[in-house]
Amino acid sequence: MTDVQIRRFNLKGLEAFSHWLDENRTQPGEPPIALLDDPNLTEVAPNLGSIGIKTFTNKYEMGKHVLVALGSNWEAHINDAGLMPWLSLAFHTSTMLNSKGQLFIGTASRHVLALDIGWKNYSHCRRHLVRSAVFFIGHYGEKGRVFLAKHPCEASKLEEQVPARIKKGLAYCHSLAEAIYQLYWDEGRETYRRGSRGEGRGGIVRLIKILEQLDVTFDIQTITGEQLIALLPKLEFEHFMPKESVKTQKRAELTAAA
Amino acid sequence: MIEPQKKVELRKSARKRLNYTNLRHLSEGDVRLTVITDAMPPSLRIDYLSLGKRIPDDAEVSVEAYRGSTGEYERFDFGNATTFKSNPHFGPMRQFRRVDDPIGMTYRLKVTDELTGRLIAEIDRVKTIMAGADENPHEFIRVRYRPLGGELWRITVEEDGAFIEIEKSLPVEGIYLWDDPKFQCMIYPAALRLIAEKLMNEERYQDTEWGRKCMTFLRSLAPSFADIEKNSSPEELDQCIDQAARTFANRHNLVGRIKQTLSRELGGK
Repeated sequence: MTDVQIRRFNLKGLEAFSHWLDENRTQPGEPPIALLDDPNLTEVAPNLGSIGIKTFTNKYEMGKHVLVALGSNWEAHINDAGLMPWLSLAFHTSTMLNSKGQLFIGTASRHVLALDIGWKNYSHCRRHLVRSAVFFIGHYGEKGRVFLAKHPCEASKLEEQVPARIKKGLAYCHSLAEAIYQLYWDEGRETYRRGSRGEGRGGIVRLIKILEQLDVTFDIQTITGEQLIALLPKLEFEHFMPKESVKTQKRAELTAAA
Repeated sequence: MIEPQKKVELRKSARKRLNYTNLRHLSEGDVRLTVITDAMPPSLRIDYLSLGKRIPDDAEVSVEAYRGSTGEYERFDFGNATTFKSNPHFGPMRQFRRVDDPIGMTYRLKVTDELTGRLIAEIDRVKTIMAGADENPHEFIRVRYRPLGGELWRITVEEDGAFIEIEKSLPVEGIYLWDDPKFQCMIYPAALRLIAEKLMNEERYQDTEWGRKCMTFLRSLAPSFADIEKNSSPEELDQCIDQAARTFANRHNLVGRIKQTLSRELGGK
């Protein structure tokens, strides 16, 4: 692991990096690591120290490592359009190499905080690989693992679905993160439970759809994760629900019936 | 064949049945939010919130600010409903922590049951007033209570500010009358006209602190105030003042508010 001073791209640097991303999207060449410390294209990031550069096999580990380097003001730093692309390039051995060890660049929004100028200045920030990792750990700590169990170069369905519901502020909803962790995290295997990422019964796509229905009646930001799980349809989510929760729900139903 | 009157009744009853959680949809006249943009960090203020008697005192009031295009989201908790029920003009303010530029954000106000998280009342896409910190009329129009010799209210302009004076012999020393939203709706545009006229015609007020604040406020209502000079005709000044009063009335939806308050008081008669 080598320690380097954290820098950020200036406008020229961003242009150069974006240009390289465009050219290498389909047939990726070697990442332009010479840009990282070019004084004409980068500047020292204010209020930040150094960071150890290493390769990660897990997105959660990468997020934790970057979060420590960004410090307490991490929420402001993750919106720095010069810093995030620099970090993405600095950790290119994790963000530009997939789990098979092959070079993979993908869309520019995975590496720069992109704005879709053509349509309402729509921001694709949530797709940024480093930003997303820091975001989930910064907000949910240990429970953020459930969103970030994949390789740093990939984004899971859970990681995509939750921040996409902007109006409901789901990305900032602690009860939802807690519920997702309890439902979908397999502690023994240290990964997602089978079936959690799909569109099928009890999967994340169904959970989000049900949340949209619950949002009409409940303020899901104020309830706890357990309360949220108790509101889910038992038949569909029973095989994901913690056993105690199922028991509580059954007891509540019996009491109500009595 | 069903008569038109009966058709309306059927629709109403169907709608009533569907709202089985008794969620109350607040109307635009019930809420007034102001976003103060020229301070850092910017802030959000609930200028007015009218909650009916049926809302429990311990219900929680919160506002969510969101912007679809950038994914920005922030939530503000404003405590329980009892404060707003006793004084709809309570005016609490909260600072944005995540958002630097709240212009163009959408706001959703929720009243929630504290224990179960069930929504009791809500309104989405609340229209907000964008104001600089100096653009609040309370900053330069103050209210004071004194004997007025038979008049109910009057405007006094002095070097240290403009005042709405209320007759002190009225119940609760005049405060009761001033706290009536209907009364404020009627008074404010007229007060604004009188103060703007005094300010533009007498130079000594223009160099005072309140005069400068008032000028900024008037320009935010009618940009043509900036073009008024010493030799401008009285008609030009009148036009500017008319425009300012009209913009103020529309921005605060005074007609809608009066209609709503009256219909509530008359109980749909």
